[in-house]
Amino acid sequence: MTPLVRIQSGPFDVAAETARITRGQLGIGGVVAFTGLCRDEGGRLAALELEHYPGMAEEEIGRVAEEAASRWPLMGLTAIHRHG
Amino acid sequence: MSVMTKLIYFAWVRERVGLPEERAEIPAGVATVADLLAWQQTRGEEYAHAFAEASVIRVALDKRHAAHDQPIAGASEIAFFPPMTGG
Repeated sequence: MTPLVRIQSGPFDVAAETARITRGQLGIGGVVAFTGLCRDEGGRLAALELEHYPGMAEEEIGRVAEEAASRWPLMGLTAIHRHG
Repeated sequence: MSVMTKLIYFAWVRERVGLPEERAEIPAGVATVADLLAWQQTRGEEYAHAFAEASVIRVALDKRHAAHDQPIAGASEIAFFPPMTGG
């Protein structure tokens, strides 16, 4: 199982990613999705710009994904992080 | 023969230094990340300002997070960023 890691500025669709990860994989019995959101800190935060280090972001998240894949018998793993 | 190392700056470190990245020759004797941060403070007013609080600066050597006591030898790309938050 090769984790899929994407760093992108554009939005992503959880339903589409769920369909992608399960496509042709009829042995998968469950899919868990976590979506991180930017909070407004009680109204104190109006905007946030997220910079990223191209190359390192993918590698670092990839390392975490590989660790997860080694700890649990995962059949698929997708990690997407937005920037901008 | 001098070895030029790529130095990359992010967020307010970049804003204070005034450069997104540069190539520089790191002097012999600068052995660890802590030494490197101390050297940065000496390179000019903008650098002194950017690296004044060296202990909070995060450093990556060839795209891997490095502790401040880690040797920098062999790194071809060194990145500097403020503390990151998440969640």
